[in-house]
Amino acid sequence: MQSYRELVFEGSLPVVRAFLVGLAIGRNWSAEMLFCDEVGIAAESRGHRLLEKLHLEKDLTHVLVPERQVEAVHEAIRAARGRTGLRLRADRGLRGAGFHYEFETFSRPVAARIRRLLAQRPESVTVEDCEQREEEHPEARGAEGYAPAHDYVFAGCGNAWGPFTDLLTWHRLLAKHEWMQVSKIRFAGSGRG
Amino acid sequence: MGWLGRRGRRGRGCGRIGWGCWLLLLLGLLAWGPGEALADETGGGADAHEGGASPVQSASGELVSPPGAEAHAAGEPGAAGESHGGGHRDLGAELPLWTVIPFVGILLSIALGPLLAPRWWHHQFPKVSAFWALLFAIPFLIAFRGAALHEILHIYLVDYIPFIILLLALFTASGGILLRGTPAGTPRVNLLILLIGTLMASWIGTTGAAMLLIRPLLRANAKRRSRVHIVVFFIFLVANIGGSLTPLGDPPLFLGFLHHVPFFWTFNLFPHMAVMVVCLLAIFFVWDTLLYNREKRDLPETPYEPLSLEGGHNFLFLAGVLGGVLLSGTWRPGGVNVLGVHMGLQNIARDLILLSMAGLSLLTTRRQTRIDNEFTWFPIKEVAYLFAGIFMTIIPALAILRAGEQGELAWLLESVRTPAHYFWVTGGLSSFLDNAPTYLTFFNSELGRFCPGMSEVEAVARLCTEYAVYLKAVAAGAVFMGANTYIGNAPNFMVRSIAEEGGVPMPSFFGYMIRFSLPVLVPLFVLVTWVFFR
Repeated sequence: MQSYRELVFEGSLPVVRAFLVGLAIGRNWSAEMLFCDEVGIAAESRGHRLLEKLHLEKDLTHVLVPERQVEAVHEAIRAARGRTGLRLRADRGLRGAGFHYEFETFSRPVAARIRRLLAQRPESVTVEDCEQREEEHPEARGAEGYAPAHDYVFAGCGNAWGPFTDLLTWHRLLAKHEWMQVSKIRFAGSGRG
Repeated sequence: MGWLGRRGRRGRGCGRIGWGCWLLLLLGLLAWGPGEALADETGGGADAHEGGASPVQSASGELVSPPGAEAHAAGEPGAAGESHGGGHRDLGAELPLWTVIPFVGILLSIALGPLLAPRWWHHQFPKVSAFWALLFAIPFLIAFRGAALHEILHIYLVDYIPFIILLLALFTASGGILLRGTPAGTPRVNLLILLIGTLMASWIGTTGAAMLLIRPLLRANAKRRSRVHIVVFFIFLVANIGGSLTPLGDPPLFLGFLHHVPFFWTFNLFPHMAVMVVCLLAIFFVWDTLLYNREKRDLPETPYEPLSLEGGHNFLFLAGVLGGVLLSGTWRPGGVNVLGVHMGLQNIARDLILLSMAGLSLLTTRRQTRIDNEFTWFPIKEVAYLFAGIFMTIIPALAILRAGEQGELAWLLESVRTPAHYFWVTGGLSSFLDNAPTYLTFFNSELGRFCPGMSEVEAVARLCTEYAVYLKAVAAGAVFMGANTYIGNAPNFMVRSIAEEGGVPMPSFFGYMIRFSLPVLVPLFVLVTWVFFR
């Protein structure tokens, strides 16, 4: 299983991306680096984002780098600092992460697909505060103009926790569907070194 | 039992009590005896009848004759009553403002019930409607007796029954048409479906066009990841704005037609509609293309099935509906008195033609077609119950507005003055209250302001010519801004329900407004105001 570390760079996303992609091509790395902004990971607080917009705080770019490439990234940053202006502000280990999901559908076929998606949860990922309810109201069948009510409801929510890589896989699977609301991934505080 | 049986069982629990209330009310009215009551109010009793007809002015301003007034009954309602009889009583100047509380109450119930307590509302709305109606009707009848009875009979016979019959005919005939097949869900095809629906809405009603096309549109886009915007633009265009060209399109315009606005007068709204439609289609196409290009590579191959039409002969019945309505706008065969209310024979003929079209559609359409269309009677029951209450409670509002400066809503007439005011006030209220009664309210406020003391026929003719921009503002505001919220127009909720049951996660009430109607529609309404109503 691929394990990652979270590197926090002082610098804008395009510059950091150009630097890291160039490095990966030069070193012939095939493993994927993940840019938090692009994969639905909440790496910064809203307050910090606001300060960035107001130019009161430096731009921070959070990147998840495969563990075995981290040392090489450190070296490259040190070597190129004078020319790129990039600086590494933090290097954190990842132990766990989590996200919240919720759904509500009035379609039986969609409900069946949701059940299949929930069943595809990796074994290492656990779900807390899981709630599900299914209601049938046959008297409400049909479309109404003034007194709308659905004859079928399937709704639920939960908080998923687990190792980052497995969690990310499941998060990506759920986020593909517009009827599934998923929050951004948040890292477990205790796991960040 | 099929679809008829299923719906019958479903609505029985609440319907029995709802109908019971109405039946009780009707029996009370009949037991009172319209002839006697009118005689009392017109001041002449039996003498008044014998001595010749004294026309009584209705709240809507139409002059109608009491029972037995043969000479009057033979003529046109408006034209016949150039002079007011000695028994005329202007209820609008006498009614206090608080009598509109039941009207406000029923409109707020319709607006808030589905949002705050949807399941309770789904079962109890007939009782709520009956409650507000009786809350007004009983004291009104006690206080004004014959005049009140006449007002009630008038609004039910002249407005409510034709209104329900038109909706029933359009709903039944369009509900027998089924589009099968799965077109490709590309931006161009979606644009074409929206355009066809928009053009059809004025001729088969916004509800009919929406019900005909929403399912093919959902099937076409079943594999798309982003579908919410498609349904929302469908609500904007097909369920609302597309219906602005004829009285068949949207209920407010039909109410205008019932009150003597010529059938083809609404064609005057074409430039306003064209601006809205062109802008909305352009925005939709760009929006849909951007999303489609983003998700195109991940889209699975969808088997394309050519579209095929089932029950297409129902278009003939829809043409019959159009013919019946046109007939009533052009033919002048005279009239009859029904329970003391003058009714044009052309209107009775129209209603019979419309009922025949509905009956023929039911008889000639395969039952399976309606089952596949998920056709039920529930939407018509909703309209019948709720508008029975609306038309009862709207009586004081219309009477007070028609009284102009003599009525207690003179301040409203004073504050709403320019076409832009009428457009935004009618539209703003139509966004949250039903647009049909809102239209009727401001239509009457214009009659009260511009044509006080005139018969309705004369007043509306003047409004349609000399003050046309004001009437256009009210009509456009009521029809266009019904799209602002889910509760602005009945088809909005119907489309939302069908889309949600098709797996589209439609936004909440406020989500719809914040994500779509405020950023997309409101700037276009500002543009329409700037171009047409400055």
